[in-house]
Amino acid sequence: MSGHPNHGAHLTVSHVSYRYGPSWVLNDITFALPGAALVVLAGRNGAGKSTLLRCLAGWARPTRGEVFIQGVRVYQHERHARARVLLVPDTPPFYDELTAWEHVQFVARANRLTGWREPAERWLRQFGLWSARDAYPFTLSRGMRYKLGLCLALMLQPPLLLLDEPLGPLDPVSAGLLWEELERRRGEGMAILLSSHQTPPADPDRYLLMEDGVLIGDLPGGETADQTLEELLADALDAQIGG
Amino acid sequence: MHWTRRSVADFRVLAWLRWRQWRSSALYWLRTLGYDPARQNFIDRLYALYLLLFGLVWIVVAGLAAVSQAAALGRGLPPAAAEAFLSSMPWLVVGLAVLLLIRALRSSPLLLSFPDMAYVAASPVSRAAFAMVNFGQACIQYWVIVLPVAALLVVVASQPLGQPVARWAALRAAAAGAPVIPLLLSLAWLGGLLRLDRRERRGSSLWWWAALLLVPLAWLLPPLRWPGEAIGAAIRGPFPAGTVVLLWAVAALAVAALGYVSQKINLIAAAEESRTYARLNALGLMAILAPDVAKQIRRQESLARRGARLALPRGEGLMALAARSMLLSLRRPLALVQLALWMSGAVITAAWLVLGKAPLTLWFFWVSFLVWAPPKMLAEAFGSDTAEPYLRQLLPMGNGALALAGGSTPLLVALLGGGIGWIVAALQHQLTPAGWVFGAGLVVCGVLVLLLAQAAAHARVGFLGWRPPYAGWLLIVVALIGGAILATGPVPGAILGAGLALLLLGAAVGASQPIAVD
Repeated sequence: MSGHPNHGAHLTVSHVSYRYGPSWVLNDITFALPGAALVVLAGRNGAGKSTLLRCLAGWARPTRGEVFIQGVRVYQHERHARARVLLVPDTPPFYDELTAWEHVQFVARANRLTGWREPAERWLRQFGLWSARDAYPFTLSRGMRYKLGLCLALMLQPPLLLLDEPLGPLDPVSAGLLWEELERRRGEGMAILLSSHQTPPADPDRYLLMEDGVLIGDLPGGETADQTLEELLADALDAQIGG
Repeated sequence: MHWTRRSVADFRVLAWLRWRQWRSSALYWLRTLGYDPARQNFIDRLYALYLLLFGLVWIVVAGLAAVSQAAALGRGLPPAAAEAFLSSMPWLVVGLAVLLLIRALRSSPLLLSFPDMAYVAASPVSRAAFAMVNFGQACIQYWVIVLPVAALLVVVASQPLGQPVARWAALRAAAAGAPVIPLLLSLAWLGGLLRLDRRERRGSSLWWWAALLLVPLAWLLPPLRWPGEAIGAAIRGPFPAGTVVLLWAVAALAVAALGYVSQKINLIAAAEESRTYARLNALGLMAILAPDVAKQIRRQESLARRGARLALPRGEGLMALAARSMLLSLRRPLALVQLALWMSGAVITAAWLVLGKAPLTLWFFWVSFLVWAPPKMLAEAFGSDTAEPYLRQLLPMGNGALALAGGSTPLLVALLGGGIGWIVAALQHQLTPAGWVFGAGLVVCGVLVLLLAQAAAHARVGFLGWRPPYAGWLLIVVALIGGAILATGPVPGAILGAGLALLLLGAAVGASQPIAVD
């Protein structure tokens, strides 16, 4: 299996570009998540965050460049790579005929998980979904649907978890709970990359800032503790325009 | 509260609103034909005139052709058929009344679109005016759709009565039927609006059974059969002018009663029961261009109304897929019955084509039927899995296992339906034991081919640089089987062709990527 020299890295993105029609949505993106980390991918609307996440998850093929997940080249060894990554899109779709709890049951049993019931029930209770567990997902609000999507992803515990705009549809309490859960998962060795417009409830390990399909900033979280995401983005954009 | 000047003014405003909505959709369709109403030069006006004339000529020519075909069909009927049709006319009208009443009792006859909910229901506009404008719209729709179809039926049924009677029978029937439509609709709406006013939510799903009482009532009380008898008399001729005037008078009374009752409508209740309609209405043209989306909306609303019945059976790995397949299927029992009937019909007709040595043109129609109206339920679960990368990434198995285990219940039902069809066909044609086994094997192959061809299309599998849709895969299979039959003879060719097709499709689906990326 052809791999990347950086075998240990959860994710290695090497000169990834993506063209949609005549325009380049991503342009020469390169970065790596060497180990467990909680990273926020920030940028304005149309910066290319969702497209980048789709490329990383193997949902779209980059026009140029390579993506490695735990040293496995995503597009050459798609099935091996897919077992190591999960992406929750901004509006996760569900089966029409299964209720929320039946989705949890089905995904757990199809993946032959053990000991899933207690934590799954705990997440549903924490996210306020337990009372709606017998409802069909299409009857739930966008936020509730996102929470269900999160529960399914957390249950599968992939080494690399990608979340597209998780803070947007969530209420502040659920956003705080999600952040705590993500920090706990990072402690257990998971790498998490999430896109966001909003300042996260606490400091992440890193901020990756994007504009017009280009990575314009890669900042460590601890050094930016006194700045909001909006300020970080504005500074990065000013620096780019000035440069 | 009575009809006031304000109600009349509201009626006019709402009628104008409906007219503008109708006009804008008509203009939309005209734009698709290249006419832009914003441009008003000579050439554009000439083109509009051309479109108008073309439309009129098309309607007249198509109408005359339909009447001519219907008359030709009717001339082949025995006189007893015409008599039976005429004597059943009162009961046909009673049946229509029952159907309309059932619809009105099951959900609000007054349907609101999302803009109606936002701007009309939330405004102090007269409820009666709103109801009557919508009622008028419903009457026009029924006049435009039901009357021509009914007139064509009368053309067919009246031919055996001889020329003097048959000549204008359809027109007389349409003239007599015109007041029957507002009469039946207003009675149905009255029932529906009264139920809505009571808003007995818990028992509301059972109210429609009351509509069936109309049948014994019409049996006991002959005056209830009077509208149908009037239409029957009009068909026989001469035109019963007095009776039709009376029908219009009774219809006007019923509409007036509706106008009175509609003053008390609870539009919140009507809006709640209009959700399916509003969602479909919001689709606009998409409802026609993407019928699957409209179907999904109806299915979702029906599931939401019924609630989650049954539980997900236990099972791990592939058995979890089989369990889901069972649950999904049992929650849509009607679709399962349709699938079984589809397979039985397809097998019986195929057996008739083979054993009756039918000409190639009939085969062409049979294959076209398989291509254009496939049993979609077979690979529906697989289609849902592969359509959304988010859902597909949650399932660890390959596409081949997913297609077979994920669609196991429809697959079994299709095999059962096909098996029953084969037994019926084999008994009809008195086959040898070898013939029974051979045919049964082909039925199994056929069902698997249909499933795998749909799965290959869902998984967007490539074939010689092309990503064939379901129809493309099926045509490849037909070509394979046809080629094998031409090369080796009917029986070995059918076995060889079916085997090759299964191998090709199985390999294509099995080797396909879980998430097809461009």
